[in-house]
Amino acid sequence: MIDAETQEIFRQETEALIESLQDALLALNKTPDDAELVTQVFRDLHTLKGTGAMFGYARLAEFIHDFEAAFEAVRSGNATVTPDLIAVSLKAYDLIVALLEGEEPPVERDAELKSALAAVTAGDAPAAASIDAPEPDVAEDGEVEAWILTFKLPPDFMEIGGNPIAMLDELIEIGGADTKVRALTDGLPALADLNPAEMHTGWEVILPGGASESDIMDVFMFHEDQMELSLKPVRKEKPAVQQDLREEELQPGAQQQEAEKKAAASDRKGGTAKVQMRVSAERLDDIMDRVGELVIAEARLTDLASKLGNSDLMEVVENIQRLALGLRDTTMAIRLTPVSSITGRFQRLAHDLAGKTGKDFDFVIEGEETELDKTVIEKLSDPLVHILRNAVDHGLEDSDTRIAAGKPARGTVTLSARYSGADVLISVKDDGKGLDPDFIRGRAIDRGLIGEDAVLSRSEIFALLMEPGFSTAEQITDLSGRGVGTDVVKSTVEGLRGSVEIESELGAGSTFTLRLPLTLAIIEGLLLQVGDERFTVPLAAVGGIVEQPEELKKGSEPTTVIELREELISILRLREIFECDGPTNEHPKVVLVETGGTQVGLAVDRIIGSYQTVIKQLSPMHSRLNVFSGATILGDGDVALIVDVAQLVRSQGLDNQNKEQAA
Amino acid sequence: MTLALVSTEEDLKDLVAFEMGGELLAVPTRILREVIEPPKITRVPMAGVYSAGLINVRGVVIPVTDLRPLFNMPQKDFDIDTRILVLELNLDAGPMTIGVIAEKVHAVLSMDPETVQAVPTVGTRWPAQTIKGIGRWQDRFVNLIDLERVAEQHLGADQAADHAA
Amino acid sequence: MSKEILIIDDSPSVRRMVAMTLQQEGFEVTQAEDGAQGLETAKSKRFDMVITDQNMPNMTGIEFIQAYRNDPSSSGVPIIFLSTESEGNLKDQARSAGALGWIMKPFEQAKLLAVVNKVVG
Repeated sequence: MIDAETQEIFRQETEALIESLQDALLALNKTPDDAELVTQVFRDLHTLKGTGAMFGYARLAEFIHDFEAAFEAVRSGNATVTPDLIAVSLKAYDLIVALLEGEEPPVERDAELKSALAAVTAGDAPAAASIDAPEPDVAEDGEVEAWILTFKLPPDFMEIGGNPIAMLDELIEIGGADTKVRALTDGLPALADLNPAEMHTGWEVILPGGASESDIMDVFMFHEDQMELSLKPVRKEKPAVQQDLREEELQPGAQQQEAEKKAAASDRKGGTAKVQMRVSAERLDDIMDRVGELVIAEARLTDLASKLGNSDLMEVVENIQRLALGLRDTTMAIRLTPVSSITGRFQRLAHDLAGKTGKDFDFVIEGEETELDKTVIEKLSDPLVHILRNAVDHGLEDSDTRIAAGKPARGTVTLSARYSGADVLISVKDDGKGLDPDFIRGRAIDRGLIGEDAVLSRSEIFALLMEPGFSTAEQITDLSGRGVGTDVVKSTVEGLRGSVEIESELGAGSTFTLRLPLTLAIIEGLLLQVGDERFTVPLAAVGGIVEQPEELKKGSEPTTVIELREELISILRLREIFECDGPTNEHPKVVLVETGGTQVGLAVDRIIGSYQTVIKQLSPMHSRLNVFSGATILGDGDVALIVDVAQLVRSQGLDNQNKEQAA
Repeated sequence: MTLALVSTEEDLKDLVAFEMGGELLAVPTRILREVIEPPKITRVPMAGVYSAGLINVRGVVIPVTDLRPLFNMPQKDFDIDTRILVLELNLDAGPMTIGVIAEKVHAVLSMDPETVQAVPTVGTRWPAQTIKGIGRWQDRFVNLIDLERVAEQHLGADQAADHAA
Repeated sequence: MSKEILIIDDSPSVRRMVAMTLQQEGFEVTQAEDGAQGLETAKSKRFDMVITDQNMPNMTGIEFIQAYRNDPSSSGVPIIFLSTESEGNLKDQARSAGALGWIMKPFEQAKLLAVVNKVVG
């Protein structure tokens, strides 16, 4: 009876919980005394257990019960956070993930980890004793002929929404037609003291012996401690029905309340009052599509309205334009997710890598708050895992080698994210041994990737690392030598309309930088005309527009260099590069664009203006033409291509780094 | 010679025939989404000869291919009969919607599997394996083109780049 | 007129499951994500029944019950307390605070319906 959407919500919820759990465990490794973190772990486990059980994950719930007990021991001061506890907890975490993913790890694993958890928190009180009160067993002699039940409901019973009549009905249902009910009114106060909202009436109910004792007691479950209640069996041997059986059994259970209050108080802490709502990613995609259509329709409306020249109409159109823009911005903001949403798994990976390689290093994360489109972030996880593994496995040296090279024994690997114009740069930097261009070159020649006499720039040589079939690993190790290769990193990132840049200095370390677009869906574009054709460039990349100098109008080489504002600047003539026909403009322009830290100029005929550009992905037929990152539909219904400036520059061999030839 | 046409026998009952370079070709209507008059086509620079460009079909950008260079046919200018067949192809990499330029589109027709013959390996204009068979309709040969294979083998971006000027 | 039930639970999936189960039986369901939001909602109108989880951020279930019972409008509104077995000893606290009954997590949909029907039926 659980529908697909509820399942999906469950999946997302547990995903967030396990992510948070792992983050807290890793953070605890660094600050073992942080009580907030212990509470966090406890809470996450607790919620996972409860929710998991509701969704049929019995084994999971059962396992977490013990896991939780270990942290309860920490919380109550009976155990402390040790590296061993974290190590075992991370393994337990892995089991939870496996169980949630529907895998069926061997059942012994549960027991193993449970006892490991118990061992590392040894000295505690026995793990979470079951609190279920044992059912009072009536194993007395003689068949029960009848039950005599007398009770007086708690005074606040009506106040808290109870319904005595429903309760009596329920008893009659249990006992059947032979049930006898009699009101006992001797507890009524004097009329003057009577509070009509309070219950004072008691009842005596005689049920047939066939009724089950636990069924009868269940009717009062929860109120037992607050009320007078007695249930006595009448056995066949004993003939007389005892009349006066009322017992005063008032035992308000105020025992463990102090401890619980403390727990509740610590639960209360943390968390702002921000109301959050979960929405499935599919719905977000839907909204984004619709907003995209709206923006296109709006552009078309603006186009038509400006042709008609009706000022009333224009006013409405401008209003709609403003609304559509606002809606676009909000929708895009909803899709943006901070990089921190995936860094937890990298912390974990770094922790594991340190253990497996025996290399001691600090893992630093910078710019976690940087936000990217959710789809992009999710797809980045695998490439980053690969790069990170490579950095530790092949980049970092062992501490002896490092000391011999005059470096600190402990290495550093930094994962950083930052904005750069319309892009986000995510880089993994290590201070290890760096990449050897000669070695890479030699390997590429051996593998037949390049000719022996190939003239390659430094960055072109490093880029060979990402060619399929290239691996610098001198020996295949357990960590990086299997599975996906660096070529997959490249294709994944390019599939997201991004690029990978590698920088390295021999002996000092390497940096892999992924350059990604902030969002996949809509950009502010500058529409340009070249001959009869129109192209869009992302406005965020545009640094300025200038008139074409006379000298530029003459030539017809695809690329050239001119002096502009006392600086030499490379110019790309789009008419030549794109082989456009059609008339030229008397006052052609140069659009200055920023890419990879350098400025280049695009020679075009005319600037049409800036537009909301809804990016449509290119089909497989065109998608590997990196020069275009997509297409868009203009206000008049025509299709225009979106130029990927960085790729265009690269395709013309003007990449800045290409100019420094390899040594 | 009999053909391994089992999977396409159903298709033979429902074909759309179109003309290109004086040849009659046919594809199953199963993969045909619509036939449209050519809207404005946006050229894709550097995309090679098989790419005619991109069109907007009700808000969706669809690539259009011109197969005539592949079959060594002259690229006649668009005229009153020119149409674009919008097809939904099932490629290994997933479905792909593509427009194919046709010089003229004929009726939907049905073909007797018995009349369908294999393509001779030598002496035809068709690149290997692009034609599933040749049948007859109204005294003309109908070339049953395998557009899925054409797309896989010749319209992948790699090939397009290879043919770039 | 259909009965209106407020469900307070920080777990969206549990909330949704409860809501769907009850809606299928013709109840009207309002959802709140934590005790604080639950309190605000509960005070805003009279519900026929309130179901609350214990372990939630901002305000726990018991704190919610205490705060809600301090408000006269809560008089006669039954509150059902959801709790996992390890919180069993919270049961007494919930009862003292003014809950009418409790359901142990995990529960089956049938069990939930039985309790709800018993309380508001």
